[in-house]
Amino acid sequence: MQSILTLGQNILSLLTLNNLLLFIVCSLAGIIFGCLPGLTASIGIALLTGFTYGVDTDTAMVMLMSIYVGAIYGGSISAVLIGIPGTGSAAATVLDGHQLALRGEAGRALSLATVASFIGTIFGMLCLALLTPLLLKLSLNFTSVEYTLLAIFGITICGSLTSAGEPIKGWISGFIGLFISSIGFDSIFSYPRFTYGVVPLLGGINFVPAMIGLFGLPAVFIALAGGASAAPVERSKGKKGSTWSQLKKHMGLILRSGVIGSFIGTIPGVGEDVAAWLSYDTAKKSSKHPEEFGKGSYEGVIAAETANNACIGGAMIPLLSLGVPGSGPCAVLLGALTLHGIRTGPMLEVSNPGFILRISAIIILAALFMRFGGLLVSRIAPKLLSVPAFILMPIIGVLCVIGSYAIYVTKFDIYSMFFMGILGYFFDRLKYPAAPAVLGVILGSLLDSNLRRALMAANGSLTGFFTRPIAIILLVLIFLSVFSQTPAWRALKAKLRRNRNRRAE
Amino acid sequence: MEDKDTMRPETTDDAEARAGKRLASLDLVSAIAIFCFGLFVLLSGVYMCFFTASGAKVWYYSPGFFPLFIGAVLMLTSLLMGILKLRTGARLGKDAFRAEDAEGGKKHRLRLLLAIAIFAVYVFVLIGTVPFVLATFAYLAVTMIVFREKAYPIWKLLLISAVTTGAVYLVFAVLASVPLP
Repeated sequence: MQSILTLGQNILSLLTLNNLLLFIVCSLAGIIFGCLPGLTASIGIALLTGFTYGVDTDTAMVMLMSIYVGAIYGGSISAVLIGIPGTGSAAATVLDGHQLALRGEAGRALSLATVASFIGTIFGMLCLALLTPLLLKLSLNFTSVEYTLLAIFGITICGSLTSAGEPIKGWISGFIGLFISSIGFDSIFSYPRFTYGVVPLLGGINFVPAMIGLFGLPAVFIALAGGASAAPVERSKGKKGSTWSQLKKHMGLILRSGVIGSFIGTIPGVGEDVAAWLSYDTAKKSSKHPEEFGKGSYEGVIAAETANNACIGGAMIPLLSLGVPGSGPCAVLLGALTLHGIRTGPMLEVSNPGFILRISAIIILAALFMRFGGLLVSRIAPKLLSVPAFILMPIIGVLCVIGSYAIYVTKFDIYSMFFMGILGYFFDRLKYPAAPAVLGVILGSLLDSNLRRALMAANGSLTGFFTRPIAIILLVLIFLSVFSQTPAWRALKAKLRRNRNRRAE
Repeated sequence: MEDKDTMRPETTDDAEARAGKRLASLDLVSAIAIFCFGLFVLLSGVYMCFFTASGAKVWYYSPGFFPLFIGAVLMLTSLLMGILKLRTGARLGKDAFRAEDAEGGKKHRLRLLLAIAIFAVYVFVLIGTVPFVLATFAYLAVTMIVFREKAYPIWKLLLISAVTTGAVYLVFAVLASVPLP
């Protein structure tokens, strides 16, 4: 009861004119980012982080969460209208959303997607507010041994952050990120590593220019090189329908999709796209009309959109309680939180009391503004989607420059953003995911200092890693995380499925 | 007489299989490059651990320990990837270096290099030598004109560049007090 009251107070205190304006602008920016194919939630958060340095933490969180929530929803607009998901998380929405648009029900499909996304976000937020304090209590006993294992766990989840189904590329990308983080003075002896006499390198590569470069710049180069403008837009008929009656009819489905989305979010590294697909698949299997899926089913749109937005709150749970991001955008958000002095993980409620309820309140308001912003953007989306890449992408390039420069006001950050952009381009072409590299850059100093401190404290002995109860749990999680990404796990799963089918027969 | 298969027009599946084969060959190249890079990081770590005066008395908490760890894992993972790719039939050959062909060949490469070059001139030459507003206008105008579709008149693009530059300055420098380069 006290928590609900505090949440209500937080919501009320956030309703200042300044914040309201930011909620509106950033929600709209997020929706537009998500809606434009090639620009993702991660790019949006990475770009915006650079501009939040001069503002207080509250304002920064309002901006970043609004863009995050907006972008995840925004992907559904292009998915419905042109059959191209604006973000990976909206890929499952294309199947039925675009079919509905083709048969003249674009208005209803968008309306369903908007309301389902809103409900999904609120559901995820509830899970965040309820589960994070429990995990935080558990993690208060952490020492440098557990921190080391936690950082290693964070790196092992990199395998899941790859979309090409090759975990090894995710791990390599994560370790390249760790290498980038090791450039400059080391945290214990201030010894310069990999600097070769270049003075600006002594301070290391800052993670904001690194993440802007890895995410934003490759999108600019690829779009300009491709020479493609936005695909032709299917005009929305904007047919008004009884959206609420459809939602009421499918309350069970919404609840189930919310649970799936939030649960998938809590598994570090899995993310919104998997949540949407899993929820879609479950909805199809349990539907009374599975034959309608893929041909314009309302249930398909509701399931995918509820789950991908519920995943936001879910993904924030391991981020806030353990410092391990639950999804790609959360990996970027971790950088933004670090920039604002929010120490995620066990000490969160000690160093920033009340932060979880504060962020929950921000998510509720961001969802509300997304709901209304969505209605507006879906009307102007056809025009937005027809802006050619050669006009839009140079503007994104300029934003990359400003965003990298704004924090430390040094030209070296613009240069490092450029080189990270080139690296990001090669990553993209060779199908190496960029999110693990960003995660590596962020987790690098945590892993480096805690690993060496743990060894120093134990005179080089590794017994602490195998005798402490939480360390053992983390070791098991690391093992499971690695094993679940190997072919052996897939073979084991297939064998179990075959055995089950045989028994059923 | 030509083989029946060579006469058959290429289907989407064929194109996908060809792209997959190219990517596998490229993966092999990247695995070798990452292995060499990992070796460099590992050797640098060994040097920092044992041959420099960093202040650490023991190697396992010296500044070189972390690079040593990173280098070792990079070598291991790239070796594993290389082996996996070889087992799937990937080979080092012409295929590995023709990967861009699938995306438009020479024209694609030229456009890409041009996009990078114009951005590099903006970042390394213009910013710092001319005022940011002028540098940004020049970058936007040149990029939009070089990559434009023929239907767009140049005056329209110059106008869009000028308005965008003005808007960027107004929003960031005036309203948000964000420092500009």
